[in-house]
Amino acid sequence: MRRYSIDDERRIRLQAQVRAWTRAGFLRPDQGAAIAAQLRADVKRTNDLLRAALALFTLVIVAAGVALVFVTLGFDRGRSSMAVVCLIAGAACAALAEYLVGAFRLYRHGVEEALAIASVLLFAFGVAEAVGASPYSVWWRVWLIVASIGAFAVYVRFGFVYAAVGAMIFAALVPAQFQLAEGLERTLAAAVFGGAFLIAWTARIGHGGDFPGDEYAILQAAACAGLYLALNLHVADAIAFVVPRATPSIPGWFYWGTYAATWVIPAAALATAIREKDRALLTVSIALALCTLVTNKPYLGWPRQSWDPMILGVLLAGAALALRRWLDAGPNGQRRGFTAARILERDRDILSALATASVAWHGRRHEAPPAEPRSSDFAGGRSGGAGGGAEY
Amino acid sequence: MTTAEYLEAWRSAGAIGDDQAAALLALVRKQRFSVHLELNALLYGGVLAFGAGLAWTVREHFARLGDAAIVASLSAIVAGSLYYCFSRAAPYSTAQVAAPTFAFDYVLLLGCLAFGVDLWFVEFRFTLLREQWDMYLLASAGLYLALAYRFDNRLVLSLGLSTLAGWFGVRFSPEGFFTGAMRRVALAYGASVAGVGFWMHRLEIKRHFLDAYLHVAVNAALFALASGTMAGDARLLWLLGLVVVAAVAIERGVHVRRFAFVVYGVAYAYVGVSSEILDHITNETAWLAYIVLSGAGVVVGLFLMSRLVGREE
Repeated sequence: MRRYSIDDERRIRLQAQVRAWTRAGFLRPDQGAAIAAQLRADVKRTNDLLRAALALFTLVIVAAGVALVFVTLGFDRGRSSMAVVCLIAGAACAALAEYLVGAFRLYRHGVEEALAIASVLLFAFGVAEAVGASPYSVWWRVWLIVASIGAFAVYVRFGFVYAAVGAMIFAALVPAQFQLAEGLERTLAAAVFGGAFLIAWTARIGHGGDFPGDEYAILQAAACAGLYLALNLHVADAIAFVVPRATPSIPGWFYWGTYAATWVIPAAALATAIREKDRALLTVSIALALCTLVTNKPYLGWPRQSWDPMILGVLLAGAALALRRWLDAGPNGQRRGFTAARILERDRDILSALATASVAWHGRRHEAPPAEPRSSDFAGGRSGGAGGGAEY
Repeated sequence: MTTAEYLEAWRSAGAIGDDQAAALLALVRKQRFSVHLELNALLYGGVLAFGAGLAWTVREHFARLGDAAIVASLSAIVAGSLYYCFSRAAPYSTAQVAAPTFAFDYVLLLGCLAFGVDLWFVEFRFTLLREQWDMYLLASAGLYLALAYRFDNRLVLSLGLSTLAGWFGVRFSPEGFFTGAMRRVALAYGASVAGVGFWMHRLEIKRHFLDAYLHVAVNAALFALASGTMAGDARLLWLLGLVVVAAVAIERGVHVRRFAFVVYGVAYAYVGVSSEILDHITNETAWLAYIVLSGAGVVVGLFLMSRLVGREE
């Protein structure tokens, strides 16, 4: 079923590991080169940035191409013609992706990925139009179901893990199109993610970190994140930190049940990640724990204070420093296999990229102080006048 | 074959030694598992959150806290951070120097963030420089860059570059770049940053900082040029500048195998050139046909380039 052989998939991953081990000094450069030559897989790959650019431009071409056909045929030809165009375009994209992989042996090259994803989106659009689904929510129902099946098929065929994640998300969004009570919608969405988590977890047993275990680990982590996000009623507050949102009208038992879930899910995920030394789940569980801390006050209905981020900052930095000291104090600087030392150069690359990218978020800080100067308590006006001169 | 089986096969064949096989097997079986990145991310997030909360608290509660208390506590954070860094740092070197402690880089960043809040508050309350308030930005950018070089800190280097952008009047938001004056300022900023980066590289002072300088400079310059092509006064001139700078970014990116610059060059040039061409096309069909054909051209070009120089196998 898979377009690439298991052996190729394993060789590709091992090649990357050999490269990382060589950079970190575990292998001499000559050893690394000799082993990498033995691991050469029968596929063509490219740099990740070029891959992203190729995918982006391919998507632009597909979108413009479909629009061009619509314009040429005329928009007023009705839903059936739109359905036919989308179905044909979807099939053409899928066929082209298959051809590129077959003829050129492309592997994560951007173009074939964008074509496969475009085929799913177009096919779902075409089916939703073809069945004449209306009203709007029914149209979306059809679209989401077809897109979910299609995205999963793309994952099975090409191994794009993000397609499987997309399939999960599309499936979880289906209940939202049935005008159900919010509590039920969220429960059904959580059930989809929970089911996906169990499937990935079961499928992963016996594979460890080797292919396809690495893919299942990512899917398991994504499902865990989805489960949490479906149940956290105040998750939007974590994004718009300052602006409070109105609490959805749902039963109290459900509200407090989800509150408990926002604490239980990250804790359980963290415990599992530590026990299994699962990096994807570890990253997700830390992010979810942060999300829980940020959404705790909105859940309890407590007002936000300006010093909340400071407390969060102290908590994070304190936890990092305490963990670091604890790990360093263990025999050989490690405890139960965990070490705070950098092993691979990849960590340094990521931190360097993060430092460079931080220009963007620091750039938002520079603003002029208000034009009107405010009276200072150094100037003597405020303390003597009970603060009457101060502006708020 | 699993990774462990491969390792055993290489060991048996003599491709790797017993010690190497044992060390790698420990990694593969997760008997040694590094959380270095996660701990750094927590610490960095903690410092950023603390800095944001500090600024917010000062802004919201200055009246209740009092000027003296605010200035004294912010200054204490700055002084404490600098004392920590100066007392633990290795002697200055023009080469790359590792941080002496795990928290070192983040303590310096915290001190710099507190310094920024301190300066903002002093001007906010006492309006010492009034219209020239942006001189604070220049002074703090200078301080941040000096500290970044002294302590080899890329986080503070980025803070310095963004503060310098603030002094130039550049804001990293699309709406800011689409005004005439901002565009020229952004171009000047990009040229200055690139110039300083190359100059420092030539002097062999912290050569590893060059990448950070160039990412910022190339994005600022190309964004300004592309926006000038779309809404500038002398659009052909902006277009010419865009094509030249994008070509240089692509050529240099390919030459030194830094593909981010290739992507910057291609993306900005495509947007700028396309906006100029599409401006002259009124027919919807021709408009879409252009996007399909030009997009296909870019994909073919990038594909060939990826096969020639960007392959990874």
